[in-house]
Amino acid sequence: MKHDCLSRDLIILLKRLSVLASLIDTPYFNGKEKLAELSELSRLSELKGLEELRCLEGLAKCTKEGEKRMGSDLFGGFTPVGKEYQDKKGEKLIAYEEHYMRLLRNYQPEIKEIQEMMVALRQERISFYQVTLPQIEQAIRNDNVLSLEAKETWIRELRSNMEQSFAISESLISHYVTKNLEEFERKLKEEMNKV
Amino acid sequence: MLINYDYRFCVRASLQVMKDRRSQLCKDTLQYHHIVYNGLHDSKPEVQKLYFQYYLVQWFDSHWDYMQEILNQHKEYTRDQRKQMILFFAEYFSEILNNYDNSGVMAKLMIPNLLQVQKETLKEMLALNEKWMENSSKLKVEIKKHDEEFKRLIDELDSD
Repeated sequence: MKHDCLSRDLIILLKRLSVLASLIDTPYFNGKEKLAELSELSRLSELKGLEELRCLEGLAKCTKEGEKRMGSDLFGGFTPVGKEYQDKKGEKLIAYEEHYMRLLRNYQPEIKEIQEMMVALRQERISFYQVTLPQIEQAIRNDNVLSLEAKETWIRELRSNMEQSFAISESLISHYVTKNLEEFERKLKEEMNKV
Repeated sequence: MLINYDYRFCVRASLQVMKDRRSQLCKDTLQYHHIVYNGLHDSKPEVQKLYFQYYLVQWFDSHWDYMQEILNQHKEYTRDQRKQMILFFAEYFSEILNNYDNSGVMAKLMIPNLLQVQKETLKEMLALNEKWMENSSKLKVEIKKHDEEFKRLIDELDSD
């Protein structure tokens, strides 16, 4: 049982050493001396372990002390970030993504409707300028009884009023988009506050 | 402040009003609505202009009438919700009204202050929410008055 504990301690120690060795070149690590100290400690531990293989308790104690030192001294070189905080942040990010996707799914009919509104208005405008207006112009110009001035005045008025009306429709759609976005953001915020 | 479903309804209804009125304007021109026809065929430029103004003011007022018509079809809305919808449309309606100030034949109206009362009524309606019902009725009366005033003026000018 005690032998098992010793093996586990040694494995942990060696694993940590390999991790530290990989970190030595990173800018976050500033403990080259500490690594040397650890290596020495490890070497001593190993030697001690070999010499006093029969004294398992002593070696286990030594290894535990080494591990304790390594934990307190070596990781002191990192900026301390609360583990709890890191987990929470990760959870929040995942929750944010989940709620965002869920809201997007819920708002799919709205998004589709906005797109349809925009397409319909664009098509109506195109149809007015390409089909209806030439038809009206043709009909009015063909009427020889009408004065040229009256014809031009009315066509100008028609065009201007239609354009103003299209502009109002555009601002109505824009209002709809803004309100939907506000609602979407508010709901997302509400969901995130629950996490 | 409109609740979520109300603003959706307001926007959809307003878009419907705008689209329908645009279509009506084109249809009236192509099918020679009697006022447009009179304007196009009158020999006096002054009377022509008056007919055009008459038609456009009617067309403009019909936006408001049509919106009221849509609202009347939706009895499921409470008095307060209807009030919010009227105010929502009034905001856009006054935008159309303000655009008229710089627009062709409407820039110099033959009936002075024709749209002024409407503008003031709408402004008051938006500023004093409590008086919305009163102002809404006032607006309807103004719309009827326009019609009478135009008819009278056209008769006067034609008889000259």
